[in-house]
Amino acid sequence: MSQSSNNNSQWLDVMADKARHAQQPVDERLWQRIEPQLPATRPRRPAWLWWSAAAAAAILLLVITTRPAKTDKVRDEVTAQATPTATTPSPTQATGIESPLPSQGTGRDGIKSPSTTPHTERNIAPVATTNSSPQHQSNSQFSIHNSQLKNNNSQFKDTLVFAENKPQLNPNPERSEGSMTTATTSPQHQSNSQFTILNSQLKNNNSQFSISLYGSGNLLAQNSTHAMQRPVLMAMGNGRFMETQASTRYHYKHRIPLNVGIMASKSLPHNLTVGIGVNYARYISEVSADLERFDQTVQFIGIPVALQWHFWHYRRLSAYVGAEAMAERCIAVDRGDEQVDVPRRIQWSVHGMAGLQLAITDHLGLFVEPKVSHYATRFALPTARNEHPLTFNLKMGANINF
Amino acid sequence: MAENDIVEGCKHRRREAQRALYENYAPRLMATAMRYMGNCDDAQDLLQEALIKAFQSIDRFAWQGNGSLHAWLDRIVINTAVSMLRKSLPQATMLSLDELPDNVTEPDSAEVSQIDTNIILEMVASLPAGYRTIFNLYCIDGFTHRDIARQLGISEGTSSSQLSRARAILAQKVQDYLKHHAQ
Repeated sequence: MSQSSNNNSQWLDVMADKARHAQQPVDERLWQRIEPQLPATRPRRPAWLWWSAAAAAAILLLVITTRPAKTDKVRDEVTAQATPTATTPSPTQATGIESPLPSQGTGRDGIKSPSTTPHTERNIAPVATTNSSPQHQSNSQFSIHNSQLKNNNSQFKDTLVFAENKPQLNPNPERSEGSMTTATTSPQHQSNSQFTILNSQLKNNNSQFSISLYGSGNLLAQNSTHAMQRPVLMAMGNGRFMETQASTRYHYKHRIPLNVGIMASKSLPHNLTVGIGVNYARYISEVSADLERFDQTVQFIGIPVALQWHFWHYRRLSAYVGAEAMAERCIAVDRGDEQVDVPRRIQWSVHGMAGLQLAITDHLGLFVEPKVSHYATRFALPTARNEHPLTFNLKMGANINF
Repeated sequence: MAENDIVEGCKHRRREAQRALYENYAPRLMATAMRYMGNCDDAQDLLQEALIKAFQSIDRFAWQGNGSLHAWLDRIVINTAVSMLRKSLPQATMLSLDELPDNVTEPDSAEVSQIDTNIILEMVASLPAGYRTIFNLYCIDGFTHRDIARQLGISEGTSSSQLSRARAILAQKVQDYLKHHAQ
């Protein structure tokens, strides 16, 4: 064994210095092997993919927001069944004039008496008149309110308003089961003023679907710079891992993460909404070391599952609280122009949110949603979510209702 | 071509800049590769892989004056070498204590400075793979035992003990060389 245990032996320093400055001849054919493998041009990202996705989303938005509402179908069917013996109403009669008279009509499955419906609700469409005689016009006018439709995530409720003087419930229970029969002014005009809405339609309407497109970012700035003692992982050509030089200190400056996604939601009873979607998250960090500067981009695709409770409604506004769980998987890691392979285990996160919605049209609404997020699974590389597992985000988006 | 021009040219994928980088730095990088791999063929393969990786990731490099490019390239060669060697290191032949030279007197630094650089490289390259790697990482390239242990997947104690054995072997080789050439 060596007699000396001095690690700083001078002879080793001399040897190391010579070795560090040594040169060795290189076979000229080595360049010929390297040259064909060199990238000729800068790699370009497939921008067409993003443009295609954006165009598809725009077309979908356009189609959905311009298609006829389901309430129109209900209304048409109501009209058809309400006029079996009536004469064709004049254009002016078919303008859905809402009677100023108080109504005593009742209903079920969402059909409510106008006495319980504020008159501030907007009468979205004319329906029909059912009486041919002028003296009965005011008695038979009715209209459908669907102001609550404008509440995007709330339950669909039709409010059927009768403008009859003495409306009565149909006493026939059999018909009431299969159909909703409302009031008439007199027996001889019963058939004229009766109309039916199929329960199935109401049930369908209670199962409102909506699609939400959203984007979110952190409320708290993540642009802090810090040094990472831990070396980062780098992928080699064969897909294995190695650590970069362990003594390297990498500084990460995390930009605000970007989340975009789409979520399909279904209304449930008790003002609950359940939704599932697809979330795309992009984390960009500016990485620097003594000799390197590059951007690290980590992309995730996730499946969020959310449950919301709408506890407050006022005109076009509604407020809600909710919870969400999401499973994500890393789809790509780029460090500079180099794609890095990292362990792609599932990333779990939970979120709590409180939101406010505004109905712009019958089909379109906007929402803003502060949310607190906790990322339970640590990612292999330093990212903003690793540095701040508990974060506050602001999510904004649009609802498209079906 | 100046170092900064080479860097900028390589970032723009100019072939003449890539060629200039190769011609200017490949001999020094080849020496590094030889130290780690121990033979010319493996060293050429290592250098090829490291240079391709360097050209592909040149955008990440931040030039900080003359010498910084070589330091960056050297780091890539070392990292690539460790990655290639790590597979074989657990099976690398380790000399038993009986085979280690006993009572070796460490050489004088003045005597070592007289030895030709290529001879020194040959001495280092002739070390068993495990000892060679740790000697290179610790004594020549400035890694700590903690770093070495983490990169090679061994304990710090193993790294330290193997370094001692590498030094003993190398000291014996230097003494033998000096003794032989003194005669």
